[in-house]
Amino acid sequence: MNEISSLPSLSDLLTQNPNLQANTQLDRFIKSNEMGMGGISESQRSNGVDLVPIDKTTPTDRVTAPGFSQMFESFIKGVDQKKKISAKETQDLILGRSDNIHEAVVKSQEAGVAFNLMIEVRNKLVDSYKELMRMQV
Amino acid sequence: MTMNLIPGIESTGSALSAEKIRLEIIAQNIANSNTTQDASGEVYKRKEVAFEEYIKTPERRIPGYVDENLYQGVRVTDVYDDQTPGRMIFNPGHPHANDDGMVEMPNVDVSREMIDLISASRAYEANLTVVKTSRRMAQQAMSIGK
Repeated sequence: MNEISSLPSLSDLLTQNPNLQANTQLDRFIKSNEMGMGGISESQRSNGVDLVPIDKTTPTDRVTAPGFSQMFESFIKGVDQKKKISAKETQDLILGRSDNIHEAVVKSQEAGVAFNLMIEVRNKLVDSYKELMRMQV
Repeated sequence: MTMNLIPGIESTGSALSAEKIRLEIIAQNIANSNTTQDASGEVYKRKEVAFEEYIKTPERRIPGYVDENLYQGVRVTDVYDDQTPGRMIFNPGHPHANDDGMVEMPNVDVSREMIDLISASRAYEANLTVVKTSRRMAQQAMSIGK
């Protein structure tokens, strides 16, 4: 406790040594830059061109597009819809509300193909995840 | 959004339905091959179906892109009577006999109906083969990555 209080404070050090002044160099850099920028912007204004201000928002703020999960979710919903249609057709056939055997079979085939496609996509996803996990660090 | 994973399934499905109706009409003809009176009191007339293509495609279709407005296939537009006169048979005791004792038999020729039956069943089979093949195509496309 004694040792720490005996050390000179940071502000004391800074006032004693102007070379240690925080941001001195940075301030100088900014000043020179502003002058330079001013020169450029004036010359550009004479050409009728304005400088575009730098976008200071973080990348995550700007992302608004639907992500992969949303896309995959709608795909799964589509597959589920096909399965439901197939189940309804089969039920209608069994209960005698419809007499279209081929319609029921075709719908069930469609649902099967869509489901297989979904499985393929899932397998591919899991494979790529495993591939990443195997990466040497 | 609808997924169209099996190519040509819409057309083939509608063709299967149409051939089914054709088969039903042939069954009706064979069933009534000796019917001398129908609901309106006339002799039974042989029925036939008329198919019509229905298609709606845009000016230019881009392959590989699903077009929501695209629909195609075949449908039954009409079931009409064959107007050829039937055979006249002399049978005075028949309740449907005319004043001369003649009975008009239906213009159904069973052997011709049998040929139509084979034709309808073969057409149905052909469409089933299309379903099978296009489904196999979709499955094979999925095994590209394996």
